[in-house]
Formats: sequence, C-alpha cells, structure tokens
Amino acid sequence: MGNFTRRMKSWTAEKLDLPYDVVMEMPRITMVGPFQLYIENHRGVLIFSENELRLLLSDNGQLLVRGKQLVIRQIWPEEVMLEGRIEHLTYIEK
Amino acid sequence: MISNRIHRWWNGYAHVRITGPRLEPFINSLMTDRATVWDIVRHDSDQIELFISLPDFDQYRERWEQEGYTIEILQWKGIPNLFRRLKQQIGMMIGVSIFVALLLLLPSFIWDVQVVGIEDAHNHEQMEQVLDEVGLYSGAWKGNLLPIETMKRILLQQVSDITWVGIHIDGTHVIVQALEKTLPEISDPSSPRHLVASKKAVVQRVFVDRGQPLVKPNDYVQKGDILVSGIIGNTEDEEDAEQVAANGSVYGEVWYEAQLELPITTLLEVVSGDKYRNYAIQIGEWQIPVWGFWNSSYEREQVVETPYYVPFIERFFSVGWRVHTHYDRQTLTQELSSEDAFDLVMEHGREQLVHQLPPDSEIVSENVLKKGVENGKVYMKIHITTLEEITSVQYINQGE
Repeated sequence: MGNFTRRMKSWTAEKLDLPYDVVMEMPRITMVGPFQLYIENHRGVLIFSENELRLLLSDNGQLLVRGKQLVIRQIWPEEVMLEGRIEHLTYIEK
Repeated sequence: MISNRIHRWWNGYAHVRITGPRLEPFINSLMTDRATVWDIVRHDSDQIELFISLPDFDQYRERWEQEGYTIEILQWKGIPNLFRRLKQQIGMMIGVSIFVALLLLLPSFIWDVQVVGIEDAHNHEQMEQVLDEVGLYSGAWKGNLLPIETMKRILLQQVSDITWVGIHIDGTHVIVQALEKTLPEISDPSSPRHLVASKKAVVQRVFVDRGQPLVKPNDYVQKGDILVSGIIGNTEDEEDAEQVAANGSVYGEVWYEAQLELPITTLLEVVSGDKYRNYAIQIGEWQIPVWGFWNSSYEREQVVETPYYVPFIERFFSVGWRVHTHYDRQTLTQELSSEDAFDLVMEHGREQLVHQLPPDSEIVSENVLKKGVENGKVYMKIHITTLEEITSVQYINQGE
C-alpha cells in the first residue's frame, strides 16, 4: 500500500467518519481486564512464547504483548484470541 | 461455547507436543490453513503444546513430519478415540466374547450320561441304546430334551428288564438310575419238605394245600414241631409213603413277655431360640469374616453352616458366602407323670415287637403284668399275645 493511498484512506476515514479498522485495515484490539485480548486484522505471529506475543500488522507495524502464562486460545487469519496475564501492550510503528 | 465443546468431543481431538526449530511459521501455517487448533502454549523455546481436532490432525500430521517437526501425542480425547482404543484391543474383545459365549453355551449341553443300577451287560447295552434313541446322550442339547416323564415311560417300555427308572439332570451331568427286575430264586417245588413251627405257639388256624396236617386248632406246639408233614400215604410203611412238598399256612397264637423300664426324668437338649449369625466370604479354603464375628459365642451352642456358592464356578472353585448360625442350646429337665411314662413304655414295647413280626400278624391282646416306680424309673412287665404265621420250611433229606 503506497504512501499516497494510505493518506487518502486516512483522510477519507476522517472526513466521512468511517471506522479506521474497516477503511485502513488497522488492528482492532479488544481487551477484557488483564486476562483476555482479541486482536483483529493481524498478519501473523512473529514471536510467541509464554511471556511475549509479537504480531505483524497490516501496515507493517507490530503489536507487542508482554505478560505471563500466555496462551493462544484461538487463531485464525486476521483474528487472534490471547489469554493470560497481560502486562504491557506496545504498538510499534514501522 | 458449550456446543463448540460438544462438537470437538464428537469429532475427537488430540493434545500434542510439537518440537521443531521454527515454531512461529508453524503457528502461522496453522492459521492460514484454518486448522481447528486451540490453547497453544509455549513452555520451551523449541516446543509448543496445542490441542487439535482429529480430522485436521490426520490431515497435517504427515506434512509436519516431513517438514521436520517431532510430534508427540500427549492425550487422545473424544468419541472417535474411544473407538480407536477399542479397535486396538479387538483381539481382547473377541477373546472375551468367545469366553462369555462358551460360558453360556457349554452348560446347555449334556456332557455325561451315567447309568446306575444295572448289573447285567445285556440290559446295560440295551439301556444305552434306548437312551440314545430318546435323545439322552453326551453332546445332546438340553433345550431339545423330551420331558423327563416321557423319557422314563419310553425307557420302561423299551428296556425289558427294568422295573423302575429315575432320571436326574444335574447341570451337564445326567444320572439314569434303574432297578433291574430281580426274579426270586425258584425253589424246586418238587423237593419234599415239611412245614414246621418256627415258634412256641398255640395253633389257631390250619390251611393245608398239600401234605398231611399233624396239628389242629388249640394244639400247643414247640419250636421245630412238624405242623404239616410232607410224607403222605401210609406213614407206617415206608414203601407206601409218598414224599411231597408240603404247602400251606398255619397261624398260631404267640406270647411275648418283656420287662421294660424308663427314667422318669429326662434331660433334653433344646434350642432356646436365641441365635446370631456370622457372615464370611469364602474363597477356596479361606474364610474372611465379614459381619457378626464380634458376637461372643454361647456357653452351649449348635452351629449350622450354610454355604452359598457362586453357581457354575462352584464346580471348579468354591467362591461365595458362608453363613454360620449359632443357636443357643439349653438343657431342660423333663419330668413325666408316671401315667404318661407307662403309656410311653407300652407304646415303645409294642413298636419294637411289631418290627420283628411277619407282615400279616396282628396283636390280639396286651396285658400289663406288673408295673411300678422305683429309683426314678418306671418299670413294667408286659405280656403281648399275637396271631401270626408260624410255619417255616424244613426239607426232607432224601438220603434217609
């Protein structure tokens, strides 16, 4: 996705008040307390261990989750459900 | 979520551990293949554990192995695996079902037929042949047997020399019991004989078939006296005399005297009605007390043991339940009134006498000669008169 297209999309989303995750395929992250985490619109697992999950995102950014006793409850293309004790959530831009 | 679980259970799933160098691509491949996996955990840098549905596992397993992952199955779960497990033990299952089938089948056949009570070889052979015909042979199916009464009837008809037959089916074992006709030894009727008195008596009735009666009613005879002589004709002249087998019956009155006594007080052992039971499990020779063993035994007791064995297995090995019933015994002193005691003595004496008499005898009179009580005993002297057959046979020696 070219830089220009991205800007256009961002602008459209802003002007037309459309949700970013739909227009720009940005990740949508839902968290239930510190225990459950749903991540939609991801592009695959980069690192997974008990203490860390690193996901690739659609804009080549990364989502880094740190915690304890992490378990991937379910994984489908574009959707991950994670359980455990979640401590940090870091969004790494490209 | 619950329906999801049921679905997984229905399809079956496995808990597996996968070891390999690059596990993140592995997870991504699961993801892109949309494999039904859940609860992925990584404990170690080169190991993950996950649950996977059976259809997917069957599909991917080979590919993963080719890609160099080591697959370790931690647990099989779900319904297909139950069947899978059964299939692995199919030999065992077949064995068990054959065993059960045999166990049910074998006792429904007759294994052995035993004929008891026939001495004669010819009769024995005939008996076995008829048994075969009525369907009572080893190897016969028990459900196919004729009713026992019918078999008995046929046996009695077909086997000529038996007077009675009994059939007892004891499990797989049949015992046929028969009684052979025993013909009385035929005494030579032509051999000359006398009829003599068997007892001291007074003759009452004389019936002569053949021979020369030497006594008449009211004659007193001693034991051994000739009643009916086998020598007829002119007894004076031996040349004219003819010797025959005397036949007839002579009834005479016979007296019996007896002195009887009976203690008035009798000690009786009776059961008071108090009892308790011990229960034990029995395995072979061993008995393991289970219940009631804490009861203290009675001072005097009678123990009745009743075993309840497991049927069929009992034939080989006694396994079961054994009940010991302990009855409290007590000694009772019974004191008779002298009247009762006299009655009892009389009855006793009469009974003993009747046992010894020939079959068609009768008691004519009973008299008490003396009775009394002395030293805690009743004593009685009784006199009984009977009417009975007094003849016995004495052959005449031809050589004389």
